[in-house]
Amino acid sequence: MRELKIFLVVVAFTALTYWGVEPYAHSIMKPHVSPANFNFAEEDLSFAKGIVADKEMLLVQAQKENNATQIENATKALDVAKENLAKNEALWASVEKIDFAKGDASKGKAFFEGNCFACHGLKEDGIASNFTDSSAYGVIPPDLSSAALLYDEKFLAALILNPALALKVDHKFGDAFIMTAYNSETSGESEEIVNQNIADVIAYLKEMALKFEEKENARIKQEVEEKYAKVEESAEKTALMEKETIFAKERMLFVESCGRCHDMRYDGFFSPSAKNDLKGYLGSIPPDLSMMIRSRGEQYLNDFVNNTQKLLPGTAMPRVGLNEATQAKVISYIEKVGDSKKEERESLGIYIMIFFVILSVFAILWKRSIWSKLH
Amino acid sequence: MAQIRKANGIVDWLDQRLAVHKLLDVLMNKYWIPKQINFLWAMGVILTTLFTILFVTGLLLVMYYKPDVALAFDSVNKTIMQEVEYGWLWRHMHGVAASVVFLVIYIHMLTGIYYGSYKKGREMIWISGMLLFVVFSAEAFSGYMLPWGQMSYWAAQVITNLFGGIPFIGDALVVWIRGDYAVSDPTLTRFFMLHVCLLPIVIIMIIVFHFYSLRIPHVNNEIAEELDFDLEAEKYMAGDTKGSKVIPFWPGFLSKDFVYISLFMIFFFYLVSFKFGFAMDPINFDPADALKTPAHIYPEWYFLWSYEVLRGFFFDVGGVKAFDIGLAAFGIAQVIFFLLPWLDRSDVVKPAHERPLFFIWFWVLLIDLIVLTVYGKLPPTGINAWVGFYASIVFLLLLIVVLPVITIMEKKGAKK
Repeated sequence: MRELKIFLVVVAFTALTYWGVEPYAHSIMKPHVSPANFNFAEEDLSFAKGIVADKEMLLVQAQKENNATQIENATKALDVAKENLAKNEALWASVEKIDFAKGDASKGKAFFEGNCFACHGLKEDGIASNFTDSSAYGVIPPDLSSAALLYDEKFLAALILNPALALKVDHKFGDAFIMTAYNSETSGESEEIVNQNIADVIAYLKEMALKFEEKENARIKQEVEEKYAKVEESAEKTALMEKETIFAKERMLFVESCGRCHDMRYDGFFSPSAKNDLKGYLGSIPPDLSMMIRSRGEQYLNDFVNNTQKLLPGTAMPRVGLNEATQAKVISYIEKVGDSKKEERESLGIYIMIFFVILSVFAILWKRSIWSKLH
Repeated sequence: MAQIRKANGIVDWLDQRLAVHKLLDVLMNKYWIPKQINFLWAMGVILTTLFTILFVTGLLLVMYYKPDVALAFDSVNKTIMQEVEYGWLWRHMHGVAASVVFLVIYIHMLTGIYYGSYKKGREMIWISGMLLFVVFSAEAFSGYMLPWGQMSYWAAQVITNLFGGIPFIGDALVVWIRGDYAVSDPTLTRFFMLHVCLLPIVIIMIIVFHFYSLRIPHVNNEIAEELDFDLEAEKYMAGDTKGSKVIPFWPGFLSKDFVYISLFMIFFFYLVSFKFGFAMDPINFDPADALKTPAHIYPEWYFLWSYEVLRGFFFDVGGVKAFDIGLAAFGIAQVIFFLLPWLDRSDVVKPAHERPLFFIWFWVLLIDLIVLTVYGKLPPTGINAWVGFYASIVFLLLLIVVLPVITIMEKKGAKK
């Protein structure tokens, strides 16, 4: 019993140290943020309101200290935050007014050919991009075949109405963001016409995205089948093929969502944009994402992709804005590349532990037989 | 030459040439251990096991690791972790054992302090143990640098920079250690040599010495009873195994240790497979970038207490720079435990719970070490800086002032 008491004391102090060094210290160094919210209107408004509240607190503090320059700076910062909140409110209010059910894909195609075509390609419909490399804009403008697969309609609408704000890069580019906004202010058209055009073009993108997904799935299926053509039929083969199909689909979504800027070296993927162009555009070379699951963790990635500014204020990386289903798949891909032995580790780990449990039983029996002569 | 006759078996053949029976007697069968010990005495064997794990997994890792700044990160994170069969297992075992070995070293050390195992007659055991601790620290630090991650790089930058504080030769010394003006490829290559060659050899030599140093004063026991080992051993060999206060190292002591090792391994492999993250800083999975300082730089958990003593003194005092005071305190913290047998001058060899003042001192020290450890990780701003400052002061006072005073009071009390 005495030994058990000593053991508990050792465990208690070890646990206390562990708690202090790990969860406690991390909670202090990495302040908690609200979890990813795929209702972007809600997310953006609560985030902007949070910033206003922060700035208000700083102003109160400055007033307490009665420091004129501090008060002035805090007031300015508060005004900027309020302005930002108002902008966000206005943007999402306009998105609310759009009736996506009324979208007409064929009119959307015409709109696309008149307005988006200058920068964006749409391979799925045979529309080639005018930009095949990153030299003009720092990054290759995305082909929109997959857009409606990655993003929900409201986010797409917000992106068209005010790209810099929806992508959360207005702090860096302001109104000079490379993608021009399309709204009644910039186009001079009435709000009804703008909303109808947006609904139309999104309907068109949705139609294309369905086709795109179908084609990609067929391509992946064919590739996997070709790879396994010579392997004998078995349950193992089916399982392997299924696993590879899922991986390939997730990889495709990653390439569509992140692949214009980021590499995934450990999976042999390299972004087609030139590194120097990206650096000129964003300020630094976007990191390779091979080890991100280990260096940032699933939770961080989930929150970060959802709202980059929440975890890395001031970063030039745009909010990705993926819908919930796609984001889960993209992060699953990042995990499968960065932690490819997870399954093996967890199943083997159990066996090793069971081995030592059995060994312990024998060890205890052996010790008893020896000590029966000693006690 | 000895008389060699026809052997009746392999063991006999070897015995005639190498005296294996005599050797086994000295090393195991007639190496006497007090019977009254608890599981804390098993820490030594657990440490030996962990060191063996580190050594063997280390050899496997060296087969694939590349000590070159351009290749190191990928050789660890891609080649070893993903391409080599079970590479992840060796790497996690190595990483987790490197962290857990320090936990067990600390338990081992604190056990020694609690039961007074460093005192008169056992000084060399204590000193060789402390030497092992220091060399293990160097080994851990040089190993931490090898994956060439962000924290590897910045920790190396900060730690090597410390040598710059040494008067007169500091700046030159830093360049000499790094092999360059900044931490770079030559630093990595030489730390690789230190980690896989020189320091392991030194560690093995000191381990042998540490074991040898136990032979004459013998292992202490739970009640710090002074035993006549020869007498008790005779009793044992005469057949009074129950009455004797000693047991042979083999099989008596090891049969018990084997239980503890087996149980410990369940915990160890739980960490290896499911909780390895605690031993690996996530920031170290970003490749080293000399142009991007991480938001917080801190060492591994087992160095945090002395790191906090280093940075606890954050303001200048009377023209002496904060950095220099911190460095001096840090230097003291590294060597002060070596002097424990002379700081505690009391002749009483007893467990702490039989020495009331020392008992209080022990737990205050333990709590203070934990406070230093936790605050060594937290950012040193605002209230944290002051907690760190006072905890550092308390640490130095406890060892330099309070402990000698307590033992003087004990001596006086004993005379009355």
